[in-house]
Amino acid sequence: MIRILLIYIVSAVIILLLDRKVIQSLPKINRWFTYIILIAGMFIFAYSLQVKHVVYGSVWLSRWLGPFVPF
Amino acid sequence: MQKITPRQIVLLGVTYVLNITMINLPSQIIMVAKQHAYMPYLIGGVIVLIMLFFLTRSSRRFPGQDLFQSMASRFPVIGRVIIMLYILFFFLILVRDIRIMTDFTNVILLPITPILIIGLCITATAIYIARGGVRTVLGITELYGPIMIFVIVAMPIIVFRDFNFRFMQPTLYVDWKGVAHGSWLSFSYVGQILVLPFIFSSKDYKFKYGLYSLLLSLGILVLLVLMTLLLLGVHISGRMMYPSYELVRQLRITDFLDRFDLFLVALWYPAVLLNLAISLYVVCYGLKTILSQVSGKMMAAPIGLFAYSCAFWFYQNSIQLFNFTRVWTLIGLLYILVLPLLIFAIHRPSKA
Repeated sequence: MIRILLIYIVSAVIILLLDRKVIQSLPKINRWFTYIILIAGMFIFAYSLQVKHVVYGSVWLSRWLGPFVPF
Repeated sequence: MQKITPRQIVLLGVTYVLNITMINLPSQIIMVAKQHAYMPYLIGGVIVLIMLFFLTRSSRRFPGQDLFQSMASRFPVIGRVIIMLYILFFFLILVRDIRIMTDFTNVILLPITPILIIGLCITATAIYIARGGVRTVLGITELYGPIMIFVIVAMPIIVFRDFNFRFMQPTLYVDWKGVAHGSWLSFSYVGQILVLPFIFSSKDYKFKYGLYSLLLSLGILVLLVLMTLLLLGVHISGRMMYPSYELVRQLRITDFLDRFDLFLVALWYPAVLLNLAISLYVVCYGLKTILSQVSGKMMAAPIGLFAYSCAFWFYQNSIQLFNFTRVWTLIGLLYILVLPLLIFAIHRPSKA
């Protein structure tokens, strides 16, 4: 799992390295947004990779919304 | 600055509706609507057209602005809430499309390559296109849109000799319940055309462009599903995951060009990547509208990577992805039916 998670981490690091100079020249909110989104994505990625029971978003939504679907 | 032409707007609408719908929806619609699987597209299209008219009218009340801009300026709070809801909608479309494309590539083209790597490559390409902005998106649309349309329109000429018109029987018996079910499934996919008034200002975008775009998309989708039915029949195509791909595989121009499907997939694949880029662009553009300090271009990569991780969390597998279409329409109703009516009712310039 850790090895697969590296795919995400390496991608995030590449994004941060490539955009480093531009992001530093923009207002701070851009930097914080980038960090928050990348970290949130990493947690979701790690959660979906775990071997134990995963609650998938669409399965959860289907359980709640399914009774309202007419067909 | 180069002007946005009507042709580009029409082609962008066609690209956004057509490319994913033609791969994900036909088998589900054929399964329920049987030999009249073309009808659900038309019924869904009529409702979407009315909603597009409402949104276009709302957009034209604010000359020179698109709907995102005008809502944020007219209603600083409610407008921003509605924009955030639409950002969520297009983000969910992006997540769904990344997963559809990843699964398709894994099943059909690259069965040995790990699915996570395929998804990452697809997302990275979409990010690079989206970072180019609307001009890049329109430029690529102008390149691939006409080719795709031409190829699909030319397909009946090649496969006509293999058509079996008995597959369309009983022609006069219509299972209306099945057609209604099919319309339910197709509604949210066809409804993606509503993206047009959100990203193009009322100066560039007119209702007739949306109308042409929708008619062209529906015409091509109907043509594709009819060809699938006439070539493969209801029972086989309804049980396939990707009947449109199977239809393309039947194309044989001459004895030496028997893998014509690879050529067509090579044309279609960039158009689908463009689809993902449009969704990503709309999400970033919407974010930039509600928070003016945020750079939409810089947000493309983090949001794209976030969508990538969500694509594997949101859907368990490709079967679940297909089954979710039923529920997806319920979510789509809010964005395609309820919110456009609300926007039409309240979104007017202030009298002061």
